[in-house]
Amino acid sequence: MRAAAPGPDRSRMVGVVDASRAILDGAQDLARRSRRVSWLAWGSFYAAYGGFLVLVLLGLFFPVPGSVTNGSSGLSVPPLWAYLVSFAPAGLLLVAAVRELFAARAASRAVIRGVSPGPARPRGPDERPGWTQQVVESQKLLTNAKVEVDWSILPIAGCLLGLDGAVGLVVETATAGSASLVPFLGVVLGLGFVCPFVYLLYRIGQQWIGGFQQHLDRQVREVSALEAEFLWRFAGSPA
Amino acid sequence: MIGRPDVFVIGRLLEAMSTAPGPIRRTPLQQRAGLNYTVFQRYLEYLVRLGFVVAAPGTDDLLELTPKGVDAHRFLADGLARIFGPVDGGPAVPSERGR
Repeated sequence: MRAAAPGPDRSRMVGVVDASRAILDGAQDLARRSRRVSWLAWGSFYAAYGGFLVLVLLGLFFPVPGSVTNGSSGLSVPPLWAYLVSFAPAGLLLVAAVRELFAARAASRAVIRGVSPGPARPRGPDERPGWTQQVVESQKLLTNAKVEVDWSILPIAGCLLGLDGAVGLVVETATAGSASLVPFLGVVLGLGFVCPFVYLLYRIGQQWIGGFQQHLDRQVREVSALEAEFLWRFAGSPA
Repeated sequence: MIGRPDVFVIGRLLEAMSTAPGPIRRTPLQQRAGLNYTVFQRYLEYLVRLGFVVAAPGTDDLLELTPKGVDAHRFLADGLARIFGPVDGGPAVPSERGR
């Protein structure tokens, strides 16, 4: 009757349970990354429009040799380096946000492929959520992450449009306000670069979180089927 | 009484029993499975009802796995490993175990 058998099999079930926790760890990592993307995106947005303020202040209060005066408005125009100083923070934050978005997608794919980014976080006996609890928590995290990433695309678009405007100002400064191509340049950059780039980032955000959600849904379906089969086979009823 | 049973909890309990050196008492079994008392009691009662676990012959408080319990353990361990990927835990439970 006794089915005892010493051996290495204990770690098998423990390993499975640990592997099942990877989904929650992955969702928590995804939530952290989406929050970072959000912060960086909004940071780049405020930095871009703050850059215009800095530019105006530089032009008004710190006139530097080499500035020219725009005859029509009477405002002093700052030199080219002032643009760099004003908009560099926005550019850096934007690059950081985009990099984080790409890095998050790579991390999400690794979890889906079953490649853990690191060893499973050790948990105490009181810190072992059941499968259902893990799924519920992961789904909540994924929903929040999706909302956060969706809303991050807006400030990124705003930042890019702000930088688009800054490029127009630079061209105007470089050509001493005589360029008739400035509005044209703004439209071309907006339609040719900003719109496709923002759409690309939106798609990456969707794929990143959507792929993870599909992975979780698939696991839920498979565990559910296993449960049903187990009950049918061993308990004589499907539920 | 449990509603829809958690296959992970059942798997952990069955594994804790199958890897014990012999018939095992309730408290060490609970510790090996890493479950709290309430969940342990509920699931142990369920496993007894399904015929996976019985009291060892001639004892009151020692429990052992039945062949049906061994089958169930193998079924769950294999099924869950298929879903969550291979784990570093050694080979699958041999099919002739406990027979």
